[in-house]
Amino acid sequence: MPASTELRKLAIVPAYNEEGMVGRVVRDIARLAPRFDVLVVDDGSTDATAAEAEAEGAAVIRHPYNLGIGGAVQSGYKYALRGDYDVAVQVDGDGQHKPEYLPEMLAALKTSGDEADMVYGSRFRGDPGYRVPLGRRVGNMIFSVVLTAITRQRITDPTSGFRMTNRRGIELFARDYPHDYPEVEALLMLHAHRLRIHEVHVRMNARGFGRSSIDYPRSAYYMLKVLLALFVGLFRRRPTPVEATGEDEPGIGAAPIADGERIQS
Amino acid sequence: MRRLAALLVALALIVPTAARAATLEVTSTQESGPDSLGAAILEAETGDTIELGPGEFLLTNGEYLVAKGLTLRGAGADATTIIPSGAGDALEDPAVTVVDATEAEPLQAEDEGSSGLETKVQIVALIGTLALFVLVLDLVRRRRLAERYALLWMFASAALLVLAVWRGGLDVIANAMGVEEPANAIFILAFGVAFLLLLNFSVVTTRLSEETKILAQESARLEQELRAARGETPHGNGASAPAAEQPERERSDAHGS
Repeated sequence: MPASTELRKLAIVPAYNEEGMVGRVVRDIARLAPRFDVLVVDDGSTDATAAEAEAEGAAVIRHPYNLGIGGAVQSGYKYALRGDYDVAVQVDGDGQHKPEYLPEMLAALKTSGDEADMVYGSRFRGDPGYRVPLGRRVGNMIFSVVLTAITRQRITDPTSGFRMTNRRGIELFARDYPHDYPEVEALLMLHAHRLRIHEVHVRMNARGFGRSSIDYPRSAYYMLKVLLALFVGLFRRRPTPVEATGEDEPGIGAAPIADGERIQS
Repeated sequence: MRRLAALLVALALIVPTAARAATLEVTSTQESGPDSLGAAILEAETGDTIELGPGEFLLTNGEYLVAKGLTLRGAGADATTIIPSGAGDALEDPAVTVVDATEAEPLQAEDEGSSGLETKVQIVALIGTLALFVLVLDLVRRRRLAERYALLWMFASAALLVLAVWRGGLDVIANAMGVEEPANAIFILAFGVAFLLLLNFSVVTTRLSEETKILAQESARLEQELRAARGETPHGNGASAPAAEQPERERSDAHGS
């Protein structure tokens, strides 16, 4: 391990046509969590999202066309992997995630270095702070029940995209990340790879323009797609990319310790 | 004595049968129902005679006609006509006697293998599948179809070709599938093959979109690195953006070592 005491931290901001909002997100991260480098992944926007982000000093990856939220977030993790970052956090470009929670999440990731590979912000651990539409709440509850059963730990907000992960998570997601509605499936992937999930309570802003990436007609499709993904995921043998030993079974004992050292260094 | 006993037994066996041999009358010319020819055949005992009035009678249950060795008696060769509904084999059988009636042409054409495909259809199918074959080969020749998909389609058209040429084949397959009508068997098979081909294309499409995604991410990353290396930002306002990106790259180098 390098003697460096400073962890390299990256904030991944996926943004699709977030002109007028993404600049504020970048600025807020720089102000409230200045130790984080900011990468905006412009997922094929047709407006000035990329320019606005660059003007605020963020590094910008511009997709040649819209890959969807999964592809955008994965681009960020790939960047984090190449840039040798120790910590990566997803912060939505629409302003719903509050960067003021980043230090708290980082602390949770660090102090629980041997217990958590991913810390995510849950709206439903306490009062969400704003009214969540009933349909979404119900959908969230169903996923919550299913994931809690699978992972045998309480997952209260599986659709939250406000997530911070260590090097193991970065390596996993850079290699493989789900497509359309990735959050729930990504949790299952973490579990399948025996990466540990930790939950902290956050409040979120109602989405910037009152727009959701999931509108009503699509929510049924969303539910079905994610449930199918969960079901299939249970039967999928995923390679474990984190261990470089080349063995089939992940070395449960070895890797977390090595990681713990790194994260605490 | 023994001979006499045997004779008596034989008589005892014959007499009741002979005594029961009766005559049934058919009054309905309907295909089925009461008093129809088909019903009378079912009703009749071995060796009975069925009397038919004038008119045209559709013959059904031919196999019982043969099994019971019945006699059909019409009202005259020019008055009564019997139309076999099957292949007409029953009336030819030596066990069956037909008197005073005309046997019409069977309704169903006699056919060696009772194959569902007629010669005309065969020719059409042959030409069609050959054309498909040539089309596939031509697409490969013009490099508009990759060989591995060409093989798939050529296999499919070859299967069609075999079914078109091999008459009995379709019947064999239909029998094995438990399908009565060979034409239906070919529809089911064709649907199954088409389904598998489409599924295969969905798999290919999924892989292609995955590969395209990776390419898009790579090209976007390379473009970002290129701009960072040149210290230029095509869209940013010149002054602040490179300054912001440059330190980041330096940090990256510092920590990488």
